[in-house]
Amino acid sequence: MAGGQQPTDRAGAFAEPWRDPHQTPLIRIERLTKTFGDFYAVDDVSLDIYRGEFFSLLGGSGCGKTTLLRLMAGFEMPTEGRISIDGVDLAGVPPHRRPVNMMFQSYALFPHMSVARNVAFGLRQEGLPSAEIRSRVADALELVKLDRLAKRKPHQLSGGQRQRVALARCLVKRPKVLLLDEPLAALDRKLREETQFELVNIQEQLGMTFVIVTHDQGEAMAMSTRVGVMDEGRIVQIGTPNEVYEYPTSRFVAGFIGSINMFDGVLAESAPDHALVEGVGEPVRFHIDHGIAAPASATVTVAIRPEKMRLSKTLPEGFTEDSPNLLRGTVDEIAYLGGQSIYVVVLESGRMVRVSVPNTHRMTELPITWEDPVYVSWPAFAGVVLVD
Amino acid sequence: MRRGGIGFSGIMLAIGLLFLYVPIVLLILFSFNESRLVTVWGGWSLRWYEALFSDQQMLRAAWLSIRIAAITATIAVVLGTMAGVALVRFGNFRGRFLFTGMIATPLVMPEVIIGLSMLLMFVAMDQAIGWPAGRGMLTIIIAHATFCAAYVTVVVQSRLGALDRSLEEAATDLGARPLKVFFVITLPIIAPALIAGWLLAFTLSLDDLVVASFVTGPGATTLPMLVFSSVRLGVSPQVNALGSIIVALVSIGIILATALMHRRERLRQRDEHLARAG
Amino acid sequence: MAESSTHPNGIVRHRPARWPRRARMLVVSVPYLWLLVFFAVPFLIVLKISLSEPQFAQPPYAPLIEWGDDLALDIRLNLANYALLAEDRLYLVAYLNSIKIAFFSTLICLAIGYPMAYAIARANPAWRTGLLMLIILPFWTSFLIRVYAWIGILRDNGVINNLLISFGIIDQPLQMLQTDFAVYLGITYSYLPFMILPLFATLQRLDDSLLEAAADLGCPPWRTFLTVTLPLSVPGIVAGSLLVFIPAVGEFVIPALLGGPDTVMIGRVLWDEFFTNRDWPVASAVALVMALLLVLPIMLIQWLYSREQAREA
Repeated sequence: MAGGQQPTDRAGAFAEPWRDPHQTPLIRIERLTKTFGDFYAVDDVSLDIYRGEFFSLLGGSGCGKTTLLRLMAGFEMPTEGRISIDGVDLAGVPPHRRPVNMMFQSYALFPHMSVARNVAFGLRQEGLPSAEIRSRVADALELVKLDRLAKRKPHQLSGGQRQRVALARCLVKRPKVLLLDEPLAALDRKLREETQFELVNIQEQLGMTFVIVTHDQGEAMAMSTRVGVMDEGRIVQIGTPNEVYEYPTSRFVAGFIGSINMFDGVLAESAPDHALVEGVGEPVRFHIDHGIAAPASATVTVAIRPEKMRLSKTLPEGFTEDSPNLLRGTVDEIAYLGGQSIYVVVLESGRMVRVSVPNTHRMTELPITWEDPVYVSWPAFAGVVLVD
Repeated sequence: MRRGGIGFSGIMLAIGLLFLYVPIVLLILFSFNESRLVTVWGGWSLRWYEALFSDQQMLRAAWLSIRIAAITATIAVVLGTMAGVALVRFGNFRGRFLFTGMIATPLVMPEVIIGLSMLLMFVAMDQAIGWPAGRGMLTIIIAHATFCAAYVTVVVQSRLGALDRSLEEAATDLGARPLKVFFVITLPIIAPALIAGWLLAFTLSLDDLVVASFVTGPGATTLPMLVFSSVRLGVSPQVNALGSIIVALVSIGIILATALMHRRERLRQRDEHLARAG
Repeated sequence: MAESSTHPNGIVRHRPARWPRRARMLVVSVPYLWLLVFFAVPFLIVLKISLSEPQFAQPPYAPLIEWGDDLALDIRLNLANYALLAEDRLYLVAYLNSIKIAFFSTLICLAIGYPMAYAIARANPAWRTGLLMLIILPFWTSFLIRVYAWIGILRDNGVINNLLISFGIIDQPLQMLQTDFAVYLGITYSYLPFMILPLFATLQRLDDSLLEAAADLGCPPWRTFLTVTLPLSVPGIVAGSLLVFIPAVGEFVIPALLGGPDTVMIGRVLWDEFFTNRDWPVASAVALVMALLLVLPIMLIQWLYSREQAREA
């Protein structure tokens, strides 16, 4: 969420089955490991995904997210662990018999077949009567708004149209789970945003379970019911978009999703309803408005999002010079991004802090400008304490 | 850096093309020569074409060569496709090392050695098991198919290696069984490479003098063998006529193929343009 | 049996076996057996025959293994054929001459072919297809007849001599046919397209912006060529050179039709040994030594080169 807009929280609109201990998951992944030689592509991953979810696997390149998806599709065999769908263990089930379908990053449209034949391909393999194939293909093409282009060949389509053919080709099979490998990566930015919403609409309309792989955190946040953040073959955090953004549990997740300022500190006071962290290498104290599950004098990291910080030339209201949650510095750089500006403030110690300021007024003159001495302050709920 | 000027390389290109084509042009020109002396102009005439088409021996040899080339090319495509699939798709199967060696060697082995070794083996087989009995068309086809299969393998291997694996995975994912994927998806997509491989094998077989000379037997004289012996005896204007016909046929074929490819490429570009526009 | 392919990160990715076992067996074993029986076994037979004595019979060699009179196995290894290769200078001369002719023909092809390939790669795209077609076209026409065309040009009363005499430049025809010159010419002519095509392929892939960057950094065109274009086209040079050198060494048709009696090349020696002298054992010995001396080094070079490439990649 580099853009700073509030993460869309779709979890509220849903029942949250992962919070309900009586729900059985649709996909159950247990202690799954996949090695290529010495390399652990997927390392001891356990994960439950529920019916109707839009689950994102998010991570940088080489984090194992695509391998995990391919393990579900059956293109890779696990080294250890198991995957079951609807209670059926998939070990030994070849890809063409699995109740899942995959949408490939390259779309993998068959170049020698028309759009309609591409979409019909999966149904033909099931040996359905041709009348049924025809009507289901027509429905699928209508759903993705491609009914007019049924006779075209893939090379006669634009990138966005190809993407929708690939989607229709999977949907028409009515799989229990649809796996999408970077479905939007090949589209340009504007089309990508439109398609995001379209994908979510189709998923809700059909009530299907989607598992998507993406490296784009904005995409994952905007579409998913839950996000699984991956790093070096492991899932480091699972949660709603809101949770992983606001309550990262590790430095990695905090730094990977959005931008964040991180400070080293020592837990000076640990109470059930609040905590106090003494900064290390920085004359600052952090007052946190909730309890921390760590003993006093533990070393911790305090992470604060730039948009939760405030910038002012004078001492902000309610603060004194030695209040907690206050820093002094000078403005070093300003990046004007339209909807907001990012200020980089240099502290006396030399370290940099990023503060984002919404541009609510139409500015001809910056109220705070380069070289200005400023105060950086934040409320007690802003800091996230990470015990590493 | 594409400059308008012609420059050194442009001049070399012109000279090189002249070098490549002057002999061919002269060959065609003198095929219409009235005079028996190939290099002295005696006026226009079609007599050497008449002579060629009434030369029963030549026609028989040509027909034999074409049949051999067609059968050879078909066998070579089947073998080469299987070998290409095995090499690209089956990973480290047992004996892969020897297999790749046997594919690569015919490409670098001088023809005289291939011809000699094949002949010796046919002789040994005839002695040992009585097959192939004697030598002739069958032994030429076997010998040609063997080295042509190596060439086809290389063509198929490179096309198959460049194929986007996700196409096959998508077909599997949509419920097609592995063999079906091969016949419904893979084979149609690599079909142009198979056609190219067939034409390559056909040409190699049609053109081969050395291997065929070794492994042939009485009664099976291919066109190159006949041409070689008649050229060795002296220059023969009939060969000019034959050469001209071959050049004409090949040129028409290549020009048609290029035009077809060009047209398809243009249509493709237009389609893509339209697709992007709307 | 796991299939493998190279993962983008250079990691070997094992895929589950996909084809049914029996289909895989069939697909591997048919071409495998074919090549084994018709290509690998023949070399063992060549080895066997090269070790046997020639005799006037059909076939003209003595069996290597025979049941002796007392039913003892009698194995007669005869190295005389190889001794002959070492003693008779004809064979050594033929080997060296073949390599010399092939080497210089390759150089000539490179010298002519490189600028041609360069010009095609730099040409207007509209022209490029046509130019390439012109280079490829001779390959599809009969090799034998293209060599034959040169006889009419080079003969004593051929096109060149007739022209030169009619212009009064010479009185007596120059002897061009049946010389080493004619052989060089014939090889260069026949194999030039094989040099141009791989060169074109690498030169075309060369990114224009590299040359623009070099020019932008102040490098004059000739030095850009030497420091950027030439090093990056080495793969094409290697491939083209091998495609010319390999068949040229074993060439039979060109020396037989264009060369003189002094132009001894190993392919021709083998042919004569076999067809004229009908000495199958010596022909086999020549073939084996030739295979060892030529094919092994070439395969070694290719293996080293591909390993080098794989390491760089």
